Amino acid sequence: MNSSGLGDSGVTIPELILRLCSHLSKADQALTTKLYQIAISFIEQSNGSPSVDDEFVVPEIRTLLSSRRDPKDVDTFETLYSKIDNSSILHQKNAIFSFLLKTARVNSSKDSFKMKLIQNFEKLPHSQSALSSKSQTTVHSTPSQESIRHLYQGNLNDRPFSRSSRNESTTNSNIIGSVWSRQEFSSSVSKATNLSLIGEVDLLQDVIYSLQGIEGRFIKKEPGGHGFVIDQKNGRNFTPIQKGLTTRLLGLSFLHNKLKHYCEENDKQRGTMSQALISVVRDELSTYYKTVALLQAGMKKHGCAEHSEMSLRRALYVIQDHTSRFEWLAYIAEECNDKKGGALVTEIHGYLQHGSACVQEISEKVLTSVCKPLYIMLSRWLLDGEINDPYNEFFIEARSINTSERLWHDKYHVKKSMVPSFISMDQAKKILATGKSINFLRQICKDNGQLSGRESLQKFFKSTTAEALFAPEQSLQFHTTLENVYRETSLRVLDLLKNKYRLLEHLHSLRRYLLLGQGDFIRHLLELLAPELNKPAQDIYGHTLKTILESAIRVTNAQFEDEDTLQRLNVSFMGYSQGDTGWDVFSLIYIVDGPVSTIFQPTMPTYQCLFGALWKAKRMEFVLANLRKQQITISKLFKYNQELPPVMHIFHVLTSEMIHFLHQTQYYFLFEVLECSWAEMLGKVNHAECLDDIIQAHSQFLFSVQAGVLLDEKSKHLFSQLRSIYNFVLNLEAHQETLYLAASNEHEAEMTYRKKQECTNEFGLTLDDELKTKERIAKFRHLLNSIKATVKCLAQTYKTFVKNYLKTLSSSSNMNLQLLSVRLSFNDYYSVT
Amino acid sequence: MSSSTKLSQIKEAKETFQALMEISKLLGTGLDVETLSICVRLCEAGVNPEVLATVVRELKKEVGSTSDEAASGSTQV
Repeated sequence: MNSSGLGDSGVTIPELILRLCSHLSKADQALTTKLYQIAISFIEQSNGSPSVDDEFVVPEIRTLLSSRRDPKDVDTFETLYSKIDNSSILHQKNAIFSFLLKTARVNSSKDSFKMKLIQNFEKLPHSQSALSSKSQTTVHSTPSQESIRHLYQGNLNDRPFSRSSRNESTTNSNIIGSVWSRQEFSSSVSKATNLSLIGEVDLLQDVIYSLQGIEGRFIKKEPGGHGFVIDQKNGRNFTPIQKGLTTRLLGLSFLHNKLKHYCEENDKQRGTMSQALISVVRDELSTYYKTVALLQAGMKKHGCAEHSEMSLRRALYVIQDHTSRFEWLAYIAEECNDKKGGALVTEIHGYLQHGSACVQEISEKVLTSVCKPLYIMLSRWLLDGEINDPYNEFFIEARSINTSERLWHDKYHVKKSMVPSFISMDQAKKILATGKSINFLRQICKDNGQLSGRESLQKFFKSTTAEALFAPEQSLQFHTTLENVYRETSLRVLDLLKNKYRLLEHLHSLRRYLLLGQGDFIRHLLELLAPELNKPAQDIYGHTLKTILESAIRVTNAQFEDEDTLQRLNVSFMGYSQGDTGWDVFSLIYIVDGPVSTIFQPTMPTYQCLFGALWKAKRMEFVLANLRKQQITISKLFKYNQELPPVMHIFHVLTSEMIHFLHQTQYYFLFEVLECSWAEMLGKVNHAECLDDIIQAHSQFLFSVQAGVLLDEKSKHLFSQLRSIYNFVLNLEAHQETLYLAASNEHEAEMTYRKKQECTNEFGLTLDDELKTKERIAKFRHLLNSIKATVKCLAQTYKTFVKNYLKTLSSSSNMNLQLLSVRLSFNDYYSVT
Repeated sequence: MSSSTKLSQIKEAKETFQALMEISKLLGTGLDVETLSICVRLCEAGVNPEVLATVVRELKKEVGSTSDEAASGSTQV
């Protein structure tokens, strides 16, 4: 390092000191040892770092020189300094200059005059040892010293002590000497500007007061505001330059007061993020106070106004940095005054894109600190699913819920206004889902196992700070980690639901029993229930139906079903009103509990509706099958009766029409609606990535089935038409029942009559009997005629209804419904005219 | 090449030292050539300049007092 000729790297500090001592003591051995001891003790005592004001050394030398002698010396110094500055030999230039300055000061305080005089008068080409010639020069220079002093004596008549003190001794008048010499010079140099300079120092003191929010002599508080103004009366002597500078300085005091006021005002305000903002402001204020203290110290450094390093200009320079920072802090504080939480973060994040580096720096500082609470909340939420947010600042809020099934749906929400701008809505939803899943696992599934993927997140939170949320590179890492954790947690939930809580089995059971997938069971149940359900609703008892349900299970394939599933199956009644039959109120239900109820519980009413519609269609099918059966019985039983077949023919035709209609409708419901939607849902459920996917697929399935079986809002009129068509079926059933009863009565009567006839060989028949028979036959014929007419009419109306229905179907926007209409009238039987 | 650079270095060092000496004179430090050169080396070696200044002052004081004593002693004798 010290490869120059000046600093020999081989020589150590002690050696150098030893050399110095021996040089000073002029090779006196005893004295050298003594000096060496003194020197070492001094160096050891203050083993500190070099003084802080290194950069001020050169300017200080300049001021020292300029205050002492003619400006020529300063110029000489400048040339020498530039020479040294350019040389590469010295490495510790500042240290050397500082040393020189210090030594000079020590000497000047002792005998500055003397040294100068020596140099001035003797003009020695080489410096001589000041020490050795000390006493000598003092004696020699005394007369000249006197004469020189006379030159400066102008305004010093009021200081008689100075002369005597200087005459007394040169060694122990250090302090007085220094004071004396300084005042003497400064007063001679700046006599003319004395008044305004003193004014400037006082003004500067006032400005420093005002920077701390205190009123001074010249600077008073602005009435009703935060700022300061120059006092009209006391400040009228200031020059325009001073006024201008002061006004610029006072701008900062205004900002300081404003920020201080903001801190005090919002201190009571709750909210961790607002507190974080305040803490940054306070932090900034305390560095500012440090600067103000330095200003003050700089002013007092020499204890004397004229030599103070501070001037208004200098102060302006020193506080410049703070001014711009304060401006933006105040602006940010103003903007964020009525905001909290995420909204505050968003607001500050906006400043990060500002073009000014200063603004960027300050807003980044603020943002980092404001994000800290958010960061902690976020890590708590993602790691433990806990919300610790007493002041509603987090962008996920928890609401109270009534039932545990609603936890997934209702408990947690994203508050849009609180989402910080560096987190997109999509990510916010993922964050929500992750925490929600954790809560779901813990609270609903009672699964307290270690969650996979936690470690990476924990590591991430440990290794980063709040900056990671918004700093571009780190936030990328944050988002990928988030993505992973989200996926892992969701998969864990799905895994648990599918395997432990048998989600798919539940879906299958629902389809089998509530959506009538298990045909044999439903058919049998219908058959068993029919007599019971024909009763008025109030006469039906749940336990009877339950028994019937159980017997239906026992005899059909449903008995091989899982025990658990069968346990969940039950019958229920909806609320009934006067005149309702059992058909109107009966419904099959499937009880789900535990975690899967999160998916199924909200959809249960929909399942009931669907069951109602499908059950009705099934019942019609059943009724029609019975009708056909009865018709065959009638034709076999009463084949001798010549009057029945024409009536029965009408029945036949109408029943066939109805059967065709119902078959097509059923086909459509079962195959085109249910099966297709089911297949679609199964695919989605198998590929689901999170619980929400399943919930969505499931509700979509239900929705499409609902639309398919004409239960949704759009096809309400279609369903009412369908219902009236069903009513025709029921009407026909009633008519056929009447007919059947009448026919069998007639048949019985006829049989009795014939028997009587055969037994008595026409002799036992009285006129009365014959009359009665005739009357009976006429009555029966009459009934037949009336039924024929009614059914003919029924058939007619039925046809119109179906035609209308088909018309509506074909005009429907749904392609499948149009196709259904085509299929229903495939041979243009119901040609729509 | 190395010798020429060394030569120029020495020259430069000499010039620099002369300049330093001039400044020292300007400032009136009262240091002689030898003392200054040692002090510059010490500074280069990383000694705190403030402390060094104090040390030099103290040493001079010490030397002065001993020499005074010696002088007074000799006059008495």
